[in-house]
Amino acid sequence: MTESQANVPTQKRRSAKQVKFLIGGAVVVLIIAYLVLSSMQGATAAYLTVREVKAAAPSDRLVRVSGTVVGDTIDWDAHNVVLRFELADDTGRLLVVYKGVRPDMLRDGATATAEGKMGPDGTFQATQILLKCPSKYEEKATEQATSR
Amino acid sequence: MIAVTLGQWALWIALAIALYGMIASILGARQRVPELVQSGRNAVIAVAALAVVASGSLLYLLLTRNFQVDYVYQHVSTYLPVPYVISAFYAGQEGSLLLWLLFLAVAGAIAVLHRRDWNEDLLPYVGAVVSGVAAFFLLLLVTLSSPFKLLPGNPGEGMGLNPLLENPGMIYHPPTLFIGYAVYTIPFAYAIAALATGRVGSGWVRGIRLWSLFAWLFLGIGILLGAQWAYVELGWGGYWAWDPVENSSLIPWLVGTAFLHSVMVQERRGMFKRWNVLLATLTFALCVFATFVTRSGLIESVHAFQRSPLGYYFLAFLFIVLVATVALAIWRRKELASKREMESFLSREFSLLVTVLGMVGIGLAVLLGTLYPTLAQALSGRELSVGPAFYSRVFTPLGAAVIIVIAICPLLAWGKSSPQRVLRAMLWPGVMAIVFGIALAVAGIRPLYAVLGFAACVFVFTSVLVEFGRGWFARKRMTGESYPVAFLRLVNKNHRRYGGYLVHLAIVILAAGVIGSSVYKTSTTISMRPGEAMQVQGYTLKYAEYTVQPTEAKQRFAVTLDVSKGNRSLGRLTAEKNFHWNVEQWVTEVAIRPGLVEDLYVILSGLETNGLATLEVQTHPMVTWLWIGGGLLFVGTLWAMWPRSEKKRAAGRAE
Repeated sequence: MTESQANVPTQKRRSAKQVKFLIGGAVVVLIIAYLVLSSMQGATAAYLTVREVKAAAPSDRLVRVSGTVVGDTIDWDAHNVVLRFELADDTGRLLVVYKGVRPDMLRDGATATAEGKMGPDGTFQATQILLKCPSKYEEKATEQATSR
Repeated sequence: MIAVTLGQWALWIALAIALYGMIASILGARQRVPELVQSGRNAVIAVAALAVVASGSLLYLLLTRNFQVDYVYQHVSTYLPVPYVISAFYAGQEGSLLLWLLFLAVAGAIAVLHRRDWNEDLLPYVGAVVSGVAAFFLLLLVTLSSPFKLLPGNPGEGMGLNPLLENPGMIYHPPTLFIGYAVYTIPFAYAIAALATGRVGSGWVRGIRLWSLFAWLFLGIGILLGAQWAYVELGWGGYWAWDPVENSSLIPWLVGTAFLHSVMVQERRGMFKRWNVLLATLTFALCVFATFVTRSGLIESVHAFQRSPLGYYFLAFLFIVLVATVALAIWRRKELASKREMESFLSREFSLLVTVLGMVGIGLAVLLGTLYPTLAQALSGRELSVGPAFYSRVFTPLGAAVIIVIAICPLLAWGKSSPQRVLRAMLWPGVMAIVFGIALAVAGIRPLYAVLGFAACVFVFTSVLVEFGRGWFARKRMTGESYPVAFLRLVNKNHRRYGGYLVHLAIVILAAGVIGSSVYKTSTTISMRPGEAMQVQGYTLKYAEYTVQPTEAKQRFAVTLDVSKGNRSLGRLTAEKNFHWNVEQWVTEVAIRPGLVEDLYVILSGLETNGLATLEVQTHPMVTWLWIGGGLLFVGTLWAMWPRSEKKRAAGRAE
């Protein structure tokens, strides 16, 4: 191994010469850190309650609101591909309008999260609807497992 | 019921043996008692054998559909086809942990049986670490998460598998990933052994090369298989959603990539010793973290986490792993000091340092994005989510930087390179990239950053080809062999180098696929009646027929389209959306027509009784490149791992 044959400089000389590489490495780290922190701005969406969403002025900031789907308010217009439904939580009910395909698991009592903005007409303009994923299945399994 | 008893007992005995093996190995090594060391080694092998027995018992119970076993009841039904019964082994938490243990124990046994001169001192500690990690998983398996738990009676029929998991991708994807996770225990065990013995020189890093390549390969292929499963089965029109479970498998792969590269610096230059110890531990810890995220539900919901104490066990285990490594590293700080110093920014060492920082940086960024919602909720009490925008903003510039480094790094010499030489080597790749970039821009390809991204890919691609060509022609000139012979002998002479180049090519192809599919994806929602035809993205879709039909397992809704482009018929596509009775859930079966340029991807969103169908027609450009890149990644890594014959190695040493 050549390692042992390499002439080992004194500790002091090394650190003086190595400073520029430390700075070089630090610059790389700082660039990455800056990218991460700056990207975090505006990429997060806060969870609000129905009342908070309704009280907030229409703005461009994305928010998320979670609640239970009220089954008899689901209005799916297959021809124009517009979905409307009401989302309820402890603080009230919110009419959600979503221009997109009706999610498979949307039904009465399902837990849904809508991401979007409050529109000027008082409806929530959702850009994304998330339903508690295969958990229906998992939930059922846990229900059965625990109620035994 | 004998299989239940057998499995249960195998786990308990294995736990006792693993704990004994850990202590025996450490004592034997410290007091220099060969009998104890031997006994510790036997313990590792015994644990592997018992893990095989326990796994065999569970598999037997699944295959005989013994529904009195809770795990069988929850994941299997009488109607489930046999391949999916086997995949049900790892459909739940208990089975997944058992599979982890199985892979870990088998890898550990192979590791301790692989005795060579260089690792004689290290092996007892390797065995001790393997035993310790196995004991942790065994502890979970006998207490909180037993796959052999019985129900009071036999329900007679099981719940069956989640239909989303009934896809060939789900048979291969989880075990591939788990092999990757579990095998990363071996590099970690060697790192701890190196620290414990103080032999932190290049011996251990050279010895674990195959292990870490093997784990890295399986992890990478596992991630790609998962992406493919999401693409063909989940039916939302994409292969990657930045969800916590996906992210958590990507993070150890990124840090593992950093590890693969930093190891080279220690092998060749005796530097980066601290990095290597740190990265080996970090990669392993992140693999355990990934298992924990997938299985505890920590990230999706803090409440689920509180319900299951499993999370605390994992956190405690990770804490011990990290603290032990740091403490040992501080203890060995003198031995870990570099024997050599960096000489130039324009050196292989520095560019590898940038690679390591970049990969770890991306990994930590993904980790932060994944954990941020949980941390924010714990700290401020407010829930929030981190969207895909975060990841694309971080990934785009860092990914581009990594691609450029991939091109430049292999051109640089160890120690110091002359700028003129590097510039000369970059000439052709640079010219090709600029020509290609201008050609794309003139052809009207936008946005600019995508053009730059493709140009960067061409840059790397050309520079790797130039490297191949340079060696090839030099060999041909020197030996006078024919072109094919010269090429084969060249790539056979240095498996590591040319395997590595192939992997670099694969990464570039993957990167091009990612750019193409994320920038140029289109989605159009249409409604059609039977007999109607529509134009979407240059395709003509004619609504041929629809089916609404109940079967034993599901209510089937299907729409068949005749697809053509111009005058050319592209055949029929059938998109389905089925209601599965057993889970009372809709499952979408998308129709995909794959192509090298783009995939046509049709989702049936809704079908009214009169045949009015709502379809989401998407085009996904260059997704096929991901699968091609994945194949090349596999071939390249295998080539890099392939051992040279003893004769050639001896000849190489004599040179």
